Amino acid sequence: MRRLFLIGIIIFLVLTVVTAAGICAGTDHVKLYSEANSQYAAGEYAQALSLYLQLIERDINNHSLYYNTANAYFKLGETGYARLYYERALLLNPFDRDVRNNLRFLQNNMKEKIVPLYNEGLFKALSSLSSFITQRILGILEIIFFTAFIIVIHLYLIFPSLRENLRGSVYGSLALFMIFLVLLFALNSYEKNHPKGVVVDETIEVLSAPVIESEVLFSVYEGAKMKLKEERGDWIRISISDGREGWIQKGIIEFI
Amino acid sequence: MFRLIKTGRTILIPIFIGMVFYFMCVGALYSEERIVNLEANVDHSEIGLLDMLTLTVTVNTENVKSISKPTLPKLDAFSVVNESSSTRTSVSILNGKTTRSRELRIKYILKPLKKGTFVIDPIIIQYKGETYSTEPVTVKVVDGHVADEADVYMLDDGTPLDIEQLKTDIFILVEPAESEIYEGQQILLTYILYSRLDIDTIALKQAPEFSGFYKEDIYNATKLENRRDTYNGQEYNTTLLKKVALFPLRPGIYDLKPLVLDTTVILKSDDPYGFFGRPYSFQVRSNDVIIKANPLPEKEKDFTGVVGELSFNLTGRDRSLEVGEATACYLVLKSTGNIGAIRTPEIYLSKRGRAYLSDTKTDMVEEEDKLYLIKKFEYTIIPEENGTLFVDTNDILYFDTVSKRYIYVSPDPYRMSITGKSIAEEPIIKKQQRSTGRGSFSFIKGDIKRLMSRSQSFLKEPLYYLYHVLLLGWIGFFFILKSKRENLKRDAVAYKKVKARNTAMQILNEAKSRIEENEFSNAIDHIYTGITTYIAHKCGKTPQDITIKNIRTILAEIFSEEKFSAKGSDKEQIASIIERCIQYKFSSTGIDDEHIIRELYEQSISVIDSMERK
Repeated sequence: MRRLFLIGIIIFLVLTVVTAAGICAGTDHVKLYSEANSQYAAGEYAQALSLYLQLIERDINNHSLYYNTANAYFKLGETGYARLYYERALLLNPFDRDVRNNLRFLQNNMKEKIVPLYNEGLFKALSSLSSFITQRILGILEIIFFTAFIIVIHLYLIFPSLRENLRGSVYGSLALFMIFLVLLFALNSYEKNHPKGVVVDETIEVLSAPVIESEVLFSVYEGAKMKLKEERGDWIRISISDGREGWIQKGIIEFI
Repeated sequence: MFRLIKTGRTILIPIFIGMVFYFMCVGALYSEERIVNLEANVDHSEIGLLDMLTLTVTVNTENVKSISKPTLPKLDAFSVVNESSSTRTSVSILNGKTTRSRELRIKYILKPLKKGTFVIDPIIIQYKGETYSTEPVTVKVVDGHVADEADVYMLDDGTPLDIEQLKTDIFILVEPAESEIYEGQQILLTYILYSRLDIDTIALKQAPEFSGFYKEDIYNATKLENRRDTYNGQEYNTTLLKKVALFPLRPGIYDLKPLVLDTTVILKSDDPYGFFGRPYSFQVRSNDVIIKANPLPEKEKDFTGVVGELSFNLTGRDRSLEVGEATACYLVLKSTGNIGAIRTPEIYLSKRGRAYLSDTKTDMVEEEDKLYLIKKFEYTIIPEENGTLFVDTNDILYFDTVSKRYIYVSPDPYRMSITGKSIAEEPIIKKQQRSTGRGSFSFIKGDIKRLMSRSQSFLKEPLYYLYHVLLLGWIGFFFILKSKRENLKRDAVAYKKVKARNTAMQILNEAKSRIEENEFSNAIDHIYTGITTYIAHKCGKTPQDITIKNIRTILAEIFSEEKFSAKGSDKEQIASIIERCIQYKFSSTGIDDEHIIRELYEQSISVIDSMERK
């Protein structure tokens, strides 16, 4: 009994220290973030950016942080990195209107406006809808339907008299949970195999084959978004939303 | 005899051939490689300035497989007009020794440059570490013509060769349209080979040099063509060798170096037996071209360096677009002058917007014996304000060679209609205005109490899996529990057996409350009902089935089961409780002793617990 009591005390102390450290670190992050915002407000974009990047290096995945970082990059004229961080912010919060507005503004200011291959009517609507479908959103929906399924199952088991009424809800919530679970894993697998990247250099040349001597098909400019299609040695085959495809060397684009 | 002679001849012929072959092989094995003779001759020791001198260098070798050509010494008083060579090889067998003699004869046709007596220095050949040299040759050059047959040269086999005729039979012609131009003005040179001879081989010896010019190569021949053309009333096969546009960089007189080809032609012989003709190698040179580049009149400040013709226009991809939408405008310069010198023109927008130079392309096109250089600038335009947008550029000043004056040229502005809502004056990235009134700081996300780190994908979070596992585990456990209970309920007898104690206890509790309220008769009833209900449920019967008559039989049945057989006293105690309850229930006087009833109640609890424990 005494031993159990001691173990309990130790666990409590460890948890207290860890929580306190977490709170302190959190306070430190907020302080740094506020400082970065002050620098931004004062027009010192380079300093602000440096502080935002320090926070990002601490593995803080926060869409507001990414948004501000992207703004700082934009102010410094680095369109490629600005887009990269807007896209990262959108992954965390696809419903953020500020990020979407700024991203649209940025795209309009890019050197080359890439018009998607299918940009009319239903395709446009689907494309717009798909931009909201991220792994995070699918994950949240999956958790919601999973929780709903658990609750409905509970009710079903506890109240035999309501079973007839609850049967539809059980099947419905189970089906939705399964659908979103499958979609989540499918999207995860697809994005792992075909990650999207952004051009951060001023211009890169896209070649017809994975050899340096091959023909230059076209050039893409800073801020262009592309999808990895295939990987071969030091080369990757990419495609752009307007349907163009080609080979570029690894490491010259930043993956979102 | 006849047969013998015939046989002898038959044997002798192969023996003879074999011996010849043997001696040839042995002779070849022991033959010596050497240069036998090296000499230089001129056809005339005295020539006129208008004559040509033929210098023949002859190298005789024995058993030498190959030897390099001798190099001419430096000739100050002569220039080499032509060079040709021929070889002759013979094999002789003398005293069984085979000698392979080879004669290399090189003919240089020299043009005297000045009068006087000149010595052509010895011509030297180095072979296997030994030096061979010719005797020096002295030539006197005087005015005019001296040799009456100076223009008649002899081929190696002694056939006369008419050099002048050769010059009209094959030549390279360059005829610039103008010999006097302005600095920076284009001059187009076309090198055409005219030939009436059977050309065996042809190779570029020397490309023309254009020092002092900016040049644009238009064409370089890679093979002979056979176009028919007439020149001076004679028909020729012609080949376009080279086409180039030149732009003199500075004023001055330019003597262009010629284009030289190494050529071998097959000369037809007058000899009726000379069926195949004789090859003759020599050099063909283009004619001299002298260009005078005059200075331009006093240059104006904005002069771009373009001389000639210049057209300048501005076009676009779209006539109407929305605010913020990108479009392209194209500035096209077309000129006979060197537009490479023109800097990228600035683009002006009549309304607010952005313009970037996104591409520059150059091209050339030939029209009416002039080369037009084309430069196309592509600009990306992003309008930020609605209304009519005019895209314009600055004027370009060039020198027009026709009117001989400086002219400003400017394109018509390109007009576009812009629709949509104008973008704010200050194109900062702005967050939508909120009612919080955070002023200028509102365009970034500032007010947060905690910088929460979020996961992009839950699939990497252990908590995600823990949540699913815990809930699924719980629901599984709950489901199993519930299933068991429901199965039990479905089997009512078994359920009652399990729940016998609970049911009995509920009834006994009621009995206890009746005791508390001094309702002893009711309490007795409840105790009786409780204990009989317990027994009935345990043996799968109803409480009504339990009577004073069958209680012992029933109890015997219950206690015959293995789990109740441990203690017989419980059976007796139950039977006793039931008998006493019936006795008190049907007693005419009733019972009012609380102590007895409470004892009965406690006995009931005790016996049920005792049986449950077993």
